[in-house]
Order: sequence, then structure tokens, then C-alpha cells
Amino acid sequence: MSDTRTSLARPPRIVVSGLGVVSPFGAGLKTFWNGVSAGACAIKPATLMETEGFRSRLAAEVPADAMAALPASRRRTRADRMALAAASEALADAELVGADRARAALLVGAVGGGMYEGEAWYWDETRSGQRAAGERALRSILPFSHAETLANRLGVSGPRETLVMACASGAASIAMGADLIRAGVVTAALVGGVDALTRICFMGFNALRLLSPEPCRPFDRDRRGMSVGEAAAFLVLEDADRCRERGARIYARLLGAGTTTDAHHVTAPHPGGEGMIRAIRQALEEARMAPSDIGYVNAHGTGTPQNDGTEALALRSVFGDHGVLVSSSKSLIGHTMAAAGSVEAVATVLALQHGLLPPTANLVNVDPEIPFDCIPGEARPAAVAAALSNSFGFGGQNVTLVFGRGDAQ
Amino acid sequence: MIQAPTVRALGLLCAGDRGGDGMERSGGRAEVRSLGRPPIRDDRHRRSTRECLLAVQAVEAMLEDGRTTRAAIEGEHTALLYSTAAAYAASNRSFIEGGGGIHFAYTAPAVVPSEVAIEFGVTGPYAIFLGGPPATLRAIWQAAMWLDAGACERALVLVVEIFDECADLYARARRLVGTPLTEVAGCLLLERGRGRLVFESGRGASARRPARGAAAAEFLGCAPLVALDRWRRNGGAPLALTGAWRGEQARLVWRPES
Repeated sequence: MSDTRTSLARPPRIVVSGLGVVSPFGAGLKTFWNGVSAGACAIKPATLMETEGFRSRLAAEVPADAMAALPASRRRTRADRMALAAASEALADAELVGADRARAALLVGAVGGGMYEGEAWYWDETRSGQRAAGERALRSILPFSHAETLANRLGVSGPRETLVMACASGAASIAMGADLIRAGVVTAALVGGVDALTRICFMGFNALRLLSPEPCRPFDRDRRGMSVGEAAAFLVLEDADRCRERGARIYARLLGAGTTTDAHHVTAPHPGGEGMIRAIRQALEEARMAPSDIGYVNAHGTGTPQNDGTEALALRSVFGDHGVLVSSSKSLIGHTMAAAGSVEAVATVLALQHGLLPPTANLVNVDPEIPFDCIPGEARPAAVAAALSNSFGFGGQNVTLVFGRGDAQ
Repeated sequence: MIQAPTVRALGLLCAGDRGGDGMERSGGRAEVRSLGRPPIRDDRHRRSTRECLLAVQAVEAMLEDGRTTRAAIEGEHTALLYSTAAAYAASNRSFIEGGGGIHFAYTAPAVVPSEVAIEFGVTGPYAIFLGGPPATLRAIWQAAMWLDAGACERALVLVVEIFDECADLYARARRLVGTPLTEVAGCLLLERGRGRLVFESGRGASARRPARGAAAAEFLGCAPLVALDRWRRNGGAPLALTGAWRGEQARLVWRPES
């Protein structure tokens, strides 16, 4: 076991040096950015499960041809394959090799695990009344199986964590990975999130009447709910000094993070956005920034009446009316659950790098209660120096990340 | 290394040890020592799963152990960290089978700390780790980092493991878990302390090796708290907690100030 003892007299600064994504646009970072920057909507009729009788028959699935191109194995679940492809891309992008890779921490945000295969196995057994084959589904059903697969396949042997904070899981993995670097436990961390579509998730949100019959339209006056999606996204975080020493590219700086809980309700957010406000303020405080330093917010923006309204309240409280540009990536790729925080962090980092802010798709009539420019339809060129990424999970689990441009000092 | 936290209080409900019906079963089911289902005292908990009720009880046991009050842990200066390996398997099974009338929200591991946060008004930094003993050690380390950084003044580390509802499935996964599967719900109250805390983590060790001092039963993620409880009762220094899980091992060592 490694025992790293680093003085905390000057906590390391954290940078993003690698990115990898498998999304409803397909596999790969370039494909993802092409889709995001074009404002394309990847929410389509669901094919992975029977949706007859449900409130919505739509989902943002990773395309079948993209899935088919990912390395397959009988032992790996759909989510494992997505995670492995995205994490491999991030490591290769960062050119993290040798001891730097071996000592890196691995933090995976996950919720569904191998449930897509597990629920099929379980139903097969209970309906037939006979012992079903394929018991390995039991082993991979739990979300920590992703971290096990990634560590073994990619040779990442540092601390290994699985964060299960609902829709904030991917963002939490980024925040906690940064903590490990700041504390001197590691100099690099592979962080991100993954979730494949599952019937249990689709059924659950359907039962809660949170699914939109049409592609979700965050911030729209006529929004009717969320669209479920699936994805995997990973980032390589590094101690800035070590990253420069390696001569690696710096995409962005991770300047701050805030995590809070509402203690209000097991599904609904605090109506005043109290926990969200504290998460945003904490993140800004850690970044030593004022609200006016932030040029763009990649919102949680699910498209449910309640979430968008509450998030707008929180943003108004911190930034004031019209105080910042806001958009929702979920209008493009659906709500990718545990992956959402990391996919949207990647979108935020790329927006800073390219000076192009992702749009909100399907936004026709902006809700008058949401007094922000929500970048409808088309990406907006804007050279912002710093941006927020919000992730607010079921039960009031709030994570806000602050990223700054990689070329800034 | 960071500043070590002090263990201010520990509440531990352990089946077959302190309460619970201590039943053991076999015949197609793994041997399980169950904590049973606590009574529902409040209408707000009418939908709560067994693991949620046990978590609330564990926090109450911790308050009693520390001779402190609910008011002392309420608010944004208290962090809440939760660790489990298996405590949501029962609710997911119930939802998939469709016969339990379980609310979708209760299939999420996050509902356990969420119920605790609501019950005790805890609104500070928050994290949920999934895995075996290393995940619990990581939760303690994260709590220590938040305390060290001033992100909170105290931290609750909550761990719950239940097995009874899925005993037949665990019997089919004997390679992965030890026996008897012993249900535990525990809550640790940490505050800023003296000395240094060292966290070590790496690959190796068998999947089933339990935390030191806790080999007589399988506690999964609760093993470090069981070991800590024994250390508090029996003494011995310095405190070191170890844990292994599916190819990963971790260790936390409290070092006195030199």
C-alpha cells in the first residue's frame, strides 16, 4: 500500500488534463462536442425497453452502432462497457501512463450499476420459477463493479471509490477526487460517472409522473418533465504542478466545489433552494470568486416544473436577475442520472476551452419565473473566464463545481 | 497526513450482540443475524424502509453514547457521510418484484442518509460511499479532510448493512461474502482532534478479508465501526482500522502528536 505524506502548507491547485465521453451522440469526446455545440437533441423513441403504457416513450440512448463498436465481453455490463470506453479515452487524452497512472485514485459516480442486465436476470428467474443461468449478473448488479472493472482493466491502483449520490454522483466524484489531490494522497485522479438505462429507473420516474411525453424542454413555460438518458464521462484531475512537469495539456482548472444537503424531503428539493444556494456559495468561496466572476452556469436543468423553478430561485439569489448565462445539457442528451454531473462538467470544460456556450434545446417560451438568458436553440460564442456546473440529486444532494479556463493564471 | 479527528461518540446496533433477534437461518438462505424492524414512531416514517429506521436508531444510540443532544448536531456545520455495501438490495428487490408497495425513492441508497438528514436537521457537507470496509474508511477520511479544512465542525459517519431480505441471494454468492452475515447499523461522531491521520490504500488482499478484530462474522461496510467499538472498549493504541473488499485494501492509522 502507498502512504503519501505531503505537506498541506500550500494545497495543490487542481487542473483537468484529460476527458472522455460516451453519450447519446455516440462514443468519443469529439462526437460529444459536435452534438452539444450543434444543439442537437438526442432524445428519441426508446428501444432498450418496452414503454407501452408509460407517460413517456422517449429516452436518450447511446446509439446501437456506437455500443456495437465498444469492446465487448460476456462479463461486462452495458454500463461497464460505456465506463471503460470513456475512462480509457480520458486517460489516453491526458497521456497518463506509468507510475502516474498506477498511483492515481479512481472515483466513480454510479447508481444503476449492472441493473439493466440484473433486472432481466431476476425477472427471468421469478417469472419462470426456475433458477436462471447467468448468476454473474448478481455480482455486477452493484454499482461498485464499475470501479472494479476500471481499476483492473486500466491499471489504476490508487484509492478506489464509488459515490452514490443519485443525480449528483458524477459531480461528487469530481469534488472528492479533488479533495484527495489537495490532501496529498494522490497527484492524479480518474473521476467521473456512468449510468445505463434501466427499467427500474424508467418505471420509477414514470410512477412519479416526472417523465415528459415529449423531449424535455428545460426552462420553458410549457415544460412537462424530464427525459431519461444514459452516458459515461470521465475526467483526469491532476495536481497542476505535476501536470506541467509532465508537459500535459491543461483543459481547465477546477477552482472550487460545494456539497450540501437539504434535509427537507426524500425526493423534492427545498422549495426555497436553500441547499442549492449554500452549495453554490460554498463553491464560489472555495474558488475565492464573486458571483460576477462567473460567466456561465451549466444548470442541473432537468425540465421538471419543480426543479427548474427551484434552481432559478437559487441562481437569482446568488447572481441576481439576468446576472449570468444559463443552459441545460439535459435538453440535448436527457438526464443521464449518475453520469449527469460528469457529462455536464465535460460540457462546461469544453465550453470554456472553445469559448462557445452550449444551448438549451426545445426552449420556445421561456418561463417568466426564470429571468435568465437560457441560450435557446443555438450555441453562443462567449469567452468566459469561469463557469459553474450544478448537480442537484434526489433527496436534496447538492454539488456545485467551479471551473476556470485552462489558459488563465 | 491530515489532522486526526477525535471519536466523540459511537452508536452501534449489532445483531446477535446488542439487541435484535439474533436469528440464524440456513437451507437455501445464507446464515443471517437480523436486527429486525424497528417500530415506526412517527407518521413521517410510514414509507421508511428497515434500513432507514435502523439508521435513525443508530444516530440516536450515538447521541446517547456521547451524552449529547439532537440540537448539537443540527445545521450546516455538521457533515453527513454514509457508507454501505448492501443496504439497498432489499428495497431494489422489493421494487422489482412489485409486491412490496415500495416507493421508488426508497430504492436509492441515498434515501438512508436523506432520512437521517431530515430527522436530525443535518445540512452540511454530504457524501455517500458504496463498497465494503474500505468505503467506510474512506468516509472517515473524507470526514477528517472536511474537519481539517474547516468545512464542518463535526461529522457523522453513518453505516448500515442489512441482509435478511436477500438471504437466498447471498447464499448463492458465498464466494463473495463471509458468514454469518450480521446486520449492523452504526453512527460515528467525529470532531477535530489532535495527532495525525494516515490513510493508505492499494490493491491486493482477498475479497473477503474482514477488518482487523472483526473476523467472527461478516459485517461488510460496518466492520471498521465494529472494530472501532472494540478498540474503545478494550483500549490499545494507536488506533488502526483496516479493511479489504474485492481486491482493494485500505488502512487508517491515528498517530499521536510527536
